[in-house]
Amino acid sequence: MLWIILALRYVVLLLLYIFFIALLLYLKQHAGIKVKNPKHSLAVLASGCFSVKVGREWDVENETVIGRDPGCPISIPDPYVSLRHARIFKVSGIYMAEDLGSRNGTFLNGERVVGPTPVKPGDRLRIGRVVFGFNPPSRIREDRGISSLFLYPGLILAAGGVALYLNRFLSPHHFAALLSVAFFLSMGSLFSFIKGRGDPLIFLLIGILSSLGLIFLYRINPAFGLRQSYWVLTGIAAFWIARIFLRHYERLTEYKYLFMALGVLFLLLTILLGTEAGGARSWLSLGSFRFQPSELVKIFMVIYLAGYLDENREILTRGTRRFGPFLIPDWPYLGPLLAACGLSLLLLVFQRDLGMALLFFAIFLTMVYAATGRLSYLLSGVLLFAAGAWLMFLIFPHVQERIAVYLNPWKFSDSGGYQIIQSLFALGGGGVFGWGLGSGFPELIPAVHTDFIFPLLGEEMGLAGALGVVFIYAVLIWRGLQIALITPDDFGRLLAFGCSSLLALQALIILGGVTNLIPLTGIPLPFLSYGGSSFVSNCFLFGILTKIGEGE
Amino acid sequence: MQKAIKGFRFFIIGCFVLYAIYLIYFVVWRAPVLNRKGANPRPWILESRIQRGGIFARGGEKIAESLPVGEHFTRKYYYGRIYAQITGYESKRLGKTGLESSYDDQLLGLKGSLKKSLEVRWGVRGIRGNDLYLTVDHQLQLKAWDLLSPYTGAAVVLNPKNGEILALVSSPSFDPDPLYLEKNWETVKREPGRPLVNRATVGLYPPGSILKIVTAAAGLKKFPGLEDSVYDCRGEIKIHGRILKDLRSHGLVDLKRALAVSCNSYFANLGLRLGAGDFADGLAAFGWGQDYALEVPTQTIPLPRESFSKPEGLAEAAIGQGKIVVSPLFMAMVAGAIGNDGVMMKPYLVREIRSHEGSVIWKAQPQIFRLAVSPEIAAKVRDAMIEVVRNGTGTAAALPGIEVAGKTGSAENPTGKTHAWFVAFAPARDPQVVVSVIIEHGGQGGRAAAPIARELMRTALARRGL
Repeated sequence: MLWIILALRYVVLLLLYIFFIALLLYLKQHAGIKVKNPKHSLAVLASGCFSVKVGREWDVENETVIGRDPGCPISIPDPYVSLRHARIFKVSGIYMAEDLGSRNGTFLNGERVVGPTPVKPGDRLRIGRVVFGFNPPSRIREDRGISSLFLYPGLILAAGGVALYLNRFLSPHHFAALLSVAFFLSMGSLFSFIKGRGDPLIFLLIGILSSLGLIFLYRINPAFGLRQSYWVLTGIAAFWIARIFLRHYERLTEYKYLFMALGVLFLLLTILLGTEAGGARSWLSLGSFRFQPSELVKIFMVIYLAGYLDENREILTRGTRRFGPFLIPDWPYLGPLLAACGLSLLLLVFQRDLGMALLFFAIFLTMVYAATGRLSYLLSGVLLFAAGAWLMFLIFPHVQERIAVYLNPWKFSDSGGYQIIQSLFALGGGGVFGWGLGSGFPELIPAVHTDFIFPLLGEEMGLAGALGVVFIYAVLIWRGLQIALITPDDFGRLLAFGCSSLLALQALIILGGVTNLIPLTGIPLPFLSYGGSSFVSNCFLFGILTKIGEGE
Repeated sequence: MQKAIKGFRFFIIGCFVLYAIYLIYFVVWRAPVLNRKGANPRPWILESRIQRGGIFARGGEKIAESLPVGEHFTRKYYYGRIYAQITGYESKRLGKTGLESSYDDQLLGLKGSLKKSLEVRWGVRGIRGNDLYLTVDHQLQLKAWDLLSPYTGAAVVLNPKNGEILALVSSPSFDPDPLYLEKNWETVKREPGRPLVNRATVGLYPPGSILKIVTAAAGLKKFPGLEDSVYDCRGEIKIHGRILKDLRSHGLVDLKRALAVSCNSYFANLGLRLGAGDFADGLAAFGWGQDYALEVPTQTIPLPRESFSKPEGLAEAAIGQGKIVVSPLFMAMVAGAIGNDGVMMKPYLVREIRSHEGSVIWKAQPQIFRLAVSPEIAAKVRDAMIEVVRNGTGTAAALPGIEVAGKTGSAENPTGKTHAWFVAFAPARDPQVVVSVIIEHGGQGGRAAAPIARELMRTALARRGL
């Protein structure tokens, strides 16, 4: 009997891998949706005209004329479309688009079509107020039915709870609280599948990560677990609020400057009125309620960047001023971007929150790169970062210490390197399968419930558990970027990209930090670490992401 | 934009794959080494949950055990310094030495038992390690300590037939009690007598005349019939201006007489006749330069071949001076090989490992370390060693009614009076015990070391009913 209770310590790991098998089977079963249509087709990706619905699709014959004339094979009743506007025809196996002398022109991938132009699958053809995709990548199929996968987040959390309860980590009171969160996680996942539209896996994977996080928080200290439970419930609510009440995510772009202003305001407030915790002055207190404004600013920043970059994409991409061998955009376009980013960075440096500063800068760079596709931005950004890092290294002693610890933590095993070394011992000591839930030594690692939850997971669930978490992040990010790839409008696409890459960068920064692969800068591990602001804002971001993926 | 997003996706997924590979590499390859670092408190926390196994002498006498004190256990050593060189100590702050270190896995009981490792991790109470049963005879060890403790030196008693270490003492010694040791560590470490050094196994001394038994064996191998030829000892021998003296002129001596009176001229001459190569081979045959690691730290005996290239160096070495150094344990093995028909056994300290419930988990198997010389040559050297005790320098080691074979040594050294050596085995024709004794700066081996060796042999043989 004793051994049965003890063996329960491995039940979470076991269920996690059963979940992976089920997930892979599910993905394999639904891989069919991406089979390419053997026929060539034009589908409406975006429409500014009420009578033409997004998603409508026409097959393309050897010659297909598009126009307002009802006699055309593709007839668009839009006043901006000429009677016989354009045609698509096939010459020796290649499809060409040609403008038939329309008034408002035909645009292929944003370029005006002059004379016959070859079209490739995935190209976007704008005619009037309608954007067509030529052989568009299929959207994630709607109505895939309910998969039993939805059970897993709740199952894993409940199993972890039973193991902890029987091994006397939890009081009945805490156990009950845990079980109710488990119920809501599974219900949320079930609802994701029922809703049909949008990627159900996103909520599911967030649910798995939250389950694992909660199990370890309850295990470290039931009080942490209980408080995080409330945050998880709030996060679930935030996710669904974003999905249900944010009817037109496109309209977020109208408020982009407001978001930026709010972000700057929050950061300013933090500097003036903030309280310090763990070396970083990054908390705002409202009575007994504390939160980390930078987590909110993260959302604002992504929305602002998506909106601004969408609006000024063309100019930023082309550049109008010559600067040596480079073409750079005029200051009125580049200025607000750099100023906003620089300001947030500066503020973050004042807060001494290096991890957040790094994350903000990285997300800024990747979004600019994604919007413009210009490597020169990325490279000059990286150079700028290197210069900035070097400056910080020279100015701030705590940055110098970080680097010294990174290069050889063993030299500082009693001082600055203690945390990272204990983290490495915990990760490495777990071996392949870990020592079982509740068998590690969280008390030896400072900040184990926030930034350093991963090493404890490694100690108790082993390499298997650690790789599992990495795998979940990878799948989640893959799905998120998939949404970005199939979203027709640029703002939605940039926003989806921003949400996913934010998660990717945040996970990479802290996972690399605690394993001493990169210098440590403390930020929470998304969805796993203790912390309400981080959890709720991440949920909200992913709610927006899923909403974008739903399409119209 | 599409391209940039795809590129970024490729990059990010690549990063995650990289992280996964690094994690695998780290956990599988790096971690097993890292986790043993001193900065890792986890092993100690886990160990503190286990009641460490005890250490028992041959007859079951309790030497060390762990006793519960509140939540934890403290290590208790019942015979303190008498066994300290064997058991070593076990302290959270100072680490582990001796058997506490080399049999750590067994004492904790974690070796090969995943079940136990998991139980410890999971906080199951009442986990006990395994007990060590030593080859050491407790009465003999007490006797050896009584005899040695007034001096600085070491003594080893072996069973030449199987290599069991029956007694091993090194004086001065230290109190291994962890509380005492942690408190007085700096003083103990700096004591001039260097009590932390196990002189019996890592102390390297010039052997002096006891080495002559090896020179004799090498000579007998190269020159058949050597025992019948004689040499005229004039009281000294001069090699390249270097004079090696004898106490007196021994006149005409054969091998047996030369060993009995420990004639330097005879053996220096024999060494020169052997030549550097054969002499070095003779040493190598007895294990010079070969690793014979015991369960406690041991010094491999160096073989200084270069020093034999000059005749004066070779002559010095042949009488156990110059660059040659040995440990007391090693000389007991050498003498044991002579008594055991040329077969040198590998020494060992732990005879059995038993679980706490008493079932035998592991039993030591005697192992041959080397075949040093042929039985015929061994017999001839043995006869000469019998003469040493009967009519030579080692008469102080004689036992009534039992034939004893031995050899004295008085090793010159740069720091003072000669070190007194004595190696012996008894009964000479069927040896049950072999002893090796060194008294640092004790003067003549025949006077200072031989009586101690005699008492050790008397006790050891009495314990075996002889």
